[in-house]
Formats: sequence, structure tokens, C-alpha cells
Amino acid sequence: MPSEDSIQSIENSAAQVIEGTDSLAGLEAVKTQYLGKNGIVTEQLKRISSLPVEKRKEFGQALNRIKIQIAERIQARHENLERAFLDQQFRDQSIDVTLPGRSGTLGTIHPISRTLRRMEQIFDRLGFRVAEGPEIENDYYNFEALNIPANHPARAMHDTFYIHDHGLLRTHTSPVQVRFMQTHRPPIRIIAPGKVFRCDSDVTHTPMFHQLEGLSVDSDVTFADLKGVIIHFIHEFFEAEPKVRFRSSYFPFTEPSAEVDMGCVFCGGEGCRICRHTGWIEVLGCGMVHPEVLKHGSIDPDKYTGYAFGLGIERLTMLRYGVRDLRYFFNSELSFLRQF
Amino acid sequence: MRACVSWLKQWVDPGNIEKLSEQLTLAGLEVARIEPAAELSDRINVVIGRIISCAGHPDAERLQVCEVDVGEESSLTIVCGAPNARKGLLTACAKVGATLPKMPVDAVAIRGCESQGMLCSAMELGMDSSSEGIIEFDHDAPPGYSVVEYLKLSEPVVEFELTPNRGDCLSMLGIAREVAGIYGRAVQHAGGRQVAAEIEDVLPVELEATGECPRYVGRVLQGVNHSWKTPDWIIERLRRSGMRSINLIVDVTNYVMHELGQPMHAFDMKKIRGGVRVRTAFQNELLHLLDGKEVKLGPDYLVIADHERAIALAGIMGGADTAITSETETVFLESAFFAPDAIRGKARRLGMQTDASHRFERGVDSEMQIKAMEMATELIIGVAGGSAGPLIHSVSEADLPRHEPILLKPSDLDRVLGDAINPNMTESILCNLGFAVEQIPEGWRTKAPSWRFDIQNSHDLVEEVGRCFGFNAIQPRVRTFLPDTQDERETGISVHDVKLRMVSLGYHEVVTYSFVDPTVQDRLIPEGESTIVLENPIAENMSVMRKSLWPGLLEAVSKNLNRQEKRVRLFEVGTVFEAVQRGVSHQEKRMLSAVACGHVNPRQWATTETPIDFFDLKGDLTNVLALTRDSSALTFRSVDHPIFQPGQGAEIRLGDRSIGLMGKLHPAHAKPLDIDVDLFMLEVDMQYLLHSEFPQFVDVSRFPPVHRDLALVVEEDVEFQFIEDAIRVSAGSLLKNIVLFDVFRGKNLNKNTKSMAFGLTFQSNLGNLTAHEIDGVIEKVIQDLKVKTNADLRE
Repeated sequence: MPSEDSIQSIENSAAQVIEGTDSLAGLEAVKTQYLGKNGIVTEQLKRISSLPVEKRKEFGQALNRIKIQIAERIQARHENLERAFLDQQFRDQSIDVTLPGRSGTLGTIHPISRTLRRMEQIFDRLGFRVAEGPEIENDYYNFEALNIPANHPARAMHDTFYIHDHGLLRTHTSPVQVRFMQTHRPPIRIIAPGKVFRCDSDVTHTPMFHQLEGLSVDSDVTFADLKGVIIHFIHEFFEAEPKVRFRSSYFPFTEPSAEVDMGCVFCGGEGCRICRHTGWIEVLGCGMVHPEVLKHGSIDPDKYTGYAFGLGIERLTMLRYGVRDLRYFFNSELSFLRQF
Repeated sequence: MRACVSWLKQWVDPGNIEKLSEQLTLAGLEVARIEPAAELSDRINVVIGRIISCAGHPDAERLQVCEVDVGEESSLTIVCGAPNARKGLLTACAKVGATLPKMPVDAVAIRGCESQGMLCSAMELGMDSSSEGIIEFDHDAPPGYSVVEYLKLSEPVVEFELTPNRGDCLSMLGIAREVAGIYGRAVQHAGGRQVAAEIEDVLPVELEATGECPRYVGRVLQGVNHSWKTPDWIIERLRRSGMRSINLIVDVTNYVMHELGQPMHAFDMKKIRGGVRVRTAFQNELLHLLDGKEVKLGPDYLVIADHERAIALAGIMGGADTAITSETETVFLESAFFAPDAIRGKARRLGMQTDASHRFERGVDSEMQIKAMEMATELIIGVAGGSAGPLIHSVSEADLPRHEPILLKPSDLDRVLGDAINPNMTESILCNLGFAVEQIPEGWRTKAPSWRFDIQNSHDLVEEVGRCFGFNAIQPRVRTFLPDTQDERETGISVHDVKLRMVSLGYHEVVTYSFVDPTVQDRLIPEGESTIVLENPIAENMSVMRKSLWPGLLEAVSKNLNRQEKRVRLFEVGTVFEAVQRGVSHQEKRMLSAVACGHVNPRQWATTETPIDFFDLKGDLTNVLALTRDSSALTFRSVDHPIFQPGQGAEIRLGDRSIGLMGKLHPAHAKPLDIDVDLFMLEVDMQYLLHSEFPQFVDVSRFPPVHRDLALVVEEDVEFQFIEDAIRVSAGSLLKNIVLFDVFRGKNLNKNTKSMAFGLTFQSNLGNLTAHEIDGVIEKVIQDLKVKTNADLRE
């Protein structure tokens, strides 16, 4: 009578044969050889009836177990072989994965826009909203309302483009201050980015450039708030924490006025080409809004104070991206634009 | 403003110069640079030399062979080409081995004559940018003495960049006051000694325009010897201050101006007829100025006149007729106070700027005129002899600038600077700056000194206290605020969103100038009367405001094509300007403009290179307008515009509004712009791109869609849009989508006809559509089109 051992050996030999078969036809033959009508396992099953009754159950169960196992092995092997056969066929369809992908091209955002966008985000988080004003201004908003009367020496610093009988091209974004104050009540927190124009053209001046104006007016605004906002901005914009200093200066529309320098982020203050060996980089001008300007904005200077600041976008863009010549910004060369 | 340190030391102890510079810079007197008084640094081998003898060079007419005493046993033989080399002259001698700023000095033979050094000009010593001949020293200069030591060339000169409110710092005295104010030190009193009158000559002075000139001080100087050279120390101080020596009288007035801040003028007394009148100019009065220019004046100019004519443009420049010359025997000196408003803007209007106008415009100390006159008199007489007449002093006290008391309260300081300032400091800061300060219960009653023109109210005082206290000592405070959210809506589209869409479509953003070439703009957009013209353009080709972004963009394309770029796609978002009523009103509009040329796709493998056409650009525009989620209302209407090639231009419409134009650049325009490829362009008013429709859910059908294709043959001039609209109307609500998938001409079609193939998708939300239902709809569509446009089904 067949033993447990002999049943196990059938399974073992079947496993060996199945693993050793590497064609689907061969596997079909193996299936017949073991599980076919006259297969090895089938033959064993036929013998059950000849066994003593008490052995039949145990022997039958063992045989059935290996019958299932062999069938599963054959099935698994079948799937493997089939997959290998398919993969063999796909080999002809293999590609050079290093070939370039096919696509249109992407354009670029101009570096000035990129900088402005970044600044808007930084100030937005502080609660500043964007305000706009016209690029063709009149004498009142560009000068007089900003405490720069006719013949004021500060006008000499603004080489103004005039339009026949009609006004001028704004020389700074500061006119937006008064325009906004005239139409809004405090608290005011705005930035006004935009184009400005001065009649000046050389290596470091273009007749058109960009500024960003900031204005905050409230009942309790002091120079300490101005400092807080400016220092925060510099740290955010340059993603570094250079020293920042405020030096007294003069703008007719702020008092006190200050120019802000930051420790050179390129040399750490040691002195380099970019900071002209001073260790300091001039970043912006700012100050507390002059009471006369508040009055022009219909805001009572006895009740409210404010601060304002103005920064040159081209200069900060040059610093941020290492652009060496201002004129690149306006000459529309693709070889320059593609870098951004 | 340049200040040399030894001069400053005469007034105040400046301490360490580097540290002082930082302090002054922080307090508002920006130090631009500190540099040595001259480039020359060789203390040993460049010495004072006296020319003992001069002999002609045997082989060169213009050279002389000089024997030079340099304080040693034997003299040096030096060949020199300077025309002013002469016996007895004391000059700078660079010995062999010396290092001059531009060159080393070696023993050389010049045309066969050995030269044991070199006699130097101011330029060669690095003291000037140009010079005529070798430098000439005073007759008491010691031969052999180091030139660097003699002229103190190693001392630093500090150059300030002053802001226009600080006219009071345009002098050594002014800088000294500021130093004293910051350090709390005293300004030494120097000069101002009264010169006793030795003669009685005077000139009548009449102040007619007392508001413009409240004080006029004059003095007659007789017997001044013009052959006297200005002393080296004055020349050198002037040089360090950026001024050239001209003659003794002018040098002294410049010296006094630089020291005290008071501009002065010297007249040839003999040429003044009658006396001096300070008055406003007559209409069209002519005046010949010192610099040779003739100016035509009017009543808003202030002049110094005699009894017959204007002889000087007050506070700006003297006249040529009364200028002093080498023949002048009697000098009339002027030291006046002109009100800033009388001088402001006048020089600039005449296209000039002088040291005097620069100072008077900003404000000169109204108490300085007599001091300056005494100092100048003393210097001139001290050097060149002569005798002074009595002071002539005309004054209108009532018109002198008055400094009213200003009340400063501690709360004024706190409101602006925060509560950083200690009250005791306030008082000492203001006192040190020369303010009269009196403590009262409310705060301080103060009075500004006569030299300050920038102090009118308590805010001005707050600034003074703040800048001296130091803004860096104020603790920063950061507060964030909840922004006002009303203007930020989900349906809002930012300009940046539009730009990003353009970028994803392959366009590069450019920024071009807002002023353009009028000839280019007029050619492209011929309605010239709406052009806004600049009065003072920087160049003719930047002289009018752009009415469209196209001129700038086309120039940009041209530039890139010239740089071998083949496929150019550019866009710009910017303002365009148009006069509504010329000289009265104008309009600014923000536009989005784009241009494209070259192939549809970038050059790459396995992609055909198709040149772009109108519809590529139209597709891009549709994608941008898709941001608004309102593209259904977008239509295009064929338009004739001179910028476009006929038949390839369109007006872009949103609903019933025209929002822009697009089309193919007319080849006649392309050529002069150096553009030799087909170029397509669009321009849209940005305001219609900044708002989108809110998404609104529509029930999704559970029933399968049915697709049908329909090929129609129509006359050539029937537009797609007309057919599409007609199909939508005929097909009704079951039609969910319509796609044009082919346009075909020729072969078995009649001439002047075309076939358009549409893919139609039908779907119902209520149930399955039967073939019968769809057939009915299609039949109706065909029938209607037959009637409307004589369309046929393509066989």
C-alpha cells in the first residue's frame, strides 16, 4: 500500500518537473502526465477502493491535497510562461527612454514681474493691499500734494517728462499715496507697484523703471512700525537676516525721512564689488508721512500718523538674480528672458 | 560738498574720521567717500625745488635744461618742457627713484641731455585732472622739503552728498556745526575780526526789492595789487573743495563762501555807474553774464543794477561788463542775503547752476553777510595790500527771515518716533544744534538758529531729535493686520493668472518702453490725432506715448529674429495711452498683447514643422479667455485694419463689446521692421479678462451620448460661425457638443465651394435617444441650412 512518503514524493517530483518545463505545450503534457485520465495522481486515486476501509479516508485526503497543489503549481507556471512569452514579444517594441519628450515650449515671466509678485506676496501677508494710479499724472499729485512746490530744489532730482498742455509722466509711485487717501479712510495699508519715468538715460538709468510704494496710515503708527515692516520685508525678500540700518535723509513728503541700507548679503559686509566695498547696500527710502501730505489726502494729521516707503524694483531684481546690467530688462532678448 | 579735515579742525575737533563719517551719514549728512587730498604719496623723493638757472636745450627748441636746488649740497640737472619753468621758480621736483601717481621717475637722457629727475605739474602730482605747466609754490617754500608734507597731501578729504534741505551744511562752518551738534562739542569762533576803514569811499546802495533782498552789505577796496598770487594754502584748500584758482579776488570770495557759506561777488567799481540798486528785472531786460552768455530777463528775476542797467543776476552770476580784470583798481565787494524764493528755479530755467545759486536757493544764513565781508576784506588786504572803505550795510529788518518760537511737546515725539526718546536728550540735542530751548510745562519752547531754513513746526523738530538720537536705536515693532477682504473674490482673475496662462502657452513676457517712435506708430496705427506727444523726449524715437503694445513688441520680435531666433512668442501686459480730447483729457487702458511667428511646435524629433497661422494664435487666445469661463460669448468678426494683411484680421468680441483685435501683420509693415516671416498678433483689453463666471453645477446625464457626423458643402463666403449658430438653433437642446473636424476644398467640389465636416454629440437627461429621434433632428438641421445658406450634404 502507498505510504505518506510516496505521496509526498509524487508531489516533489511533480514540482521539479513543473519548474523545469519552459513551454506552454510542455506544461500541458505535464498536466496530462499527472492529472490526466491516466495520470500519476489519477492512477493513485483509482486505487483507493482497493484499500482497507479505515485507510481510505486518510489516503484520499492526502491525494486530493497534492492534486490541488499540483494544479496550482501548473497554473502559476502557466501564467509565468505566458507573461515571459509576451515580454519576449515586447522586446521589439522597446524604446530609447533618453529621447527628449515631445511638447510645446513654456514661456517665462519677466524678472521684474517676478520680483513684484514676490513683494506683493510678502506685503499681502502683513495686510497690505495693492492700489494703482495713473501713469500720466498732473503736477498736483506728482509734486504739490507731496509737499514739493514749484521751484523746490527736490524737483531737480526728478527729471520730469512733460506732456504738452496735459501734465507729466509720474516720476515716482508716490502720487498713489494721496489719491488713495482722498478716497479711503484709515486704517490704510497699501502698496502701489508700477512704472515711473524720468528723463535720464545712461548705463545705470533707463527713462522708464519700476517702483513699489508702501503706505500705512492709522491712529497709532510710529517709526517703530515702519522699522518693523521694512526689516521684515528685507529678511523675507532676501531670505537672509542681514543687518539693517536706517540713516536720516530727506524726502519732501516724509518727515523724518530715512534711507535704509542692509549689510551686503553677498560678502557678509566684508566689502565686495556689489556693495562697492562699503559693506552696505542701499535698499529703499522711507519715512513718516509729512503732515502736509496727510492734509492733501484729507486726513487730519492731529489724529493720524502714517509711514511710507518706496523701493526700486530694477535694483532689487538685479541684486536678487545677479543681473549686471539694467538695460537687459527692457531689450526683450529671448536669451535673457529664458533665464527666468 | 567736500571738506578737508585740517580746515574742519580749525572749527571743531572731528575725532576719528572714519567714525565721524559713519555718525554723520546716519544723521543725514551722507559721506560718499573719504579720499586723500592727492594721489601723490611719495613723501621722500618728491620735494620742493628751486630753479637756479635755465638754459636752452642744445637739440630741442621747447626744452630747457634747469639746475634745481633741492636743499642738498649739489643741485640737480633736469630737462623740462614746461613753458613756465624759469629762474627762481619754486616748484615740485621728483628725484630719480620717486614714484608719481602715474609713473616712476628714472634717470633718463632726453635728446642727449641727462635728466636727474622731473619737474612736476599739478596733474603729474595727482592733484588735478589737467594743468598748464609745472606747479608754482609761494616764494617762501623751503627747497628740499617734502611736497606731501608741505601741502599736507596725505590728509583726508571727506565728500558729502547733501540733501536739498540742508543748505546750511554747504560750508565748513556748517559741517563743523553738525559735528559739534552730534558730539555735543563747541564750534570754535574763528575770523570775523572787524577791519577798520582806511578810506572813506562808499557806493550808494538802494534796496528796491526788499522782500527779495532784505540785506545787502558792500565795501570798496582800493589799491589792490592784482599781480599778487593767491597763497598756496588758499589754492590748496580750494582745490580740495573742488574749485580752481582764478585770481586772488575770486579765490578769496570762493574761499569765504566755502568756509562760511556766504556767496560773494566782486565788481570793478569804476564800471558801476552811479550806485547799486537791487531791483527786479524789467521785461525783456538783457544782461551779459560772466560766462559769455546773454540772458533775457523778466520781472520775476532779481538783479543788481547800477543807475543805468543790470550788472549782475542776483545770487546767480555777475555781469561781464563790471567784472574785475587785471586792470581793476578799485573793487566793490558784495555780500548779500537773497531770499530763497527769489532765487529758486531761476538758474535752472536759464540752464545754469552756480555755487552761489545752489546756496541761495537752499538758504544762506541771514546773519552771515557782515562776517563774510570782514573775512574777505582781511584776506585780500592781508595778501595784496590796498585799503578798505567802511562797511555799507543796507537792511530791511522786517523782511529778514524770522524764526518764530515753536512749541515741542513730549507727545509730538512719542506719536512719531514711539516712546524711545528720553526727554533730557531732546533738550541737549536741540541745544547742541544751535536751537534756543526753554523748558516750559507743556514741553519746550524752541527757536531755530538763523542758518536753518528747514525748521517750521514741531514735526521738523521731531526729525532733528530723531536723526540725532539715531533711528537705529528705535525698537522695531511688527504687527500684522487682517486685510480687507471685500475686493478679493473667488471669481477674480489676477493679472498674474493671465500672465501664467500665457507662459504655459509658450509666450515670454517682455517689458517695453511706454514711449515709442512716432513714425513707426503712425504707420501701424494711423489715427495720429489721438497720439500723446512728450514735450521733452529723451530721443525722437521715444517721443510719443504708445497707443498699442504692438510697436514695442514688433521691435522686440525684429531684434530677436536678427539674433537668429526662429520661433518667437512674446507677450506684454501694459498701459496704452490715448488722448480723448487733445490737451484736455486722455485715457489709460491696460492691454494684453501677444505676437508669434515661426513654427507651431518647437523644432524637435518626430514632429512636423508647420508654420503657425491665424488659428494657432486664436487657439491661444481662446485658452486665455477660458480663464473667464465665459468663452461662449466670445466671437470674432472679420475686420479691415491697416495693420493687418487684408482678409486676415479680426475684431475680438465678448458679447456685444469689442475687446480687441487680432490678425496677421501686413507684409508691407513687416518689411521696414526687418521682419521677414509671417507674424500673427493680438491685443485685448485686460479689463475683460479679470473676472470669471462662478461655476454652476448642471446634472450629469446617465444616458449614453449619440454621435453623428455631418459634412456640408457651402459657398466659399459662408462663415463657419454662421453655420455653427444655425446648427445649434435647428438641433435644439439635445445637441450637447459640436466639433468642426475638417474643412475641405477642391477635388470633386465645385469651384467657390467648400465642405465643412461637423461632429455632433446628442444626449438627453431623460432617457435613451433612439435613432429615429436623432434622424429627425439631423433632417431638420439639413433642411434649415438648405434654406439659410443653400448648404448641401456632401455626397
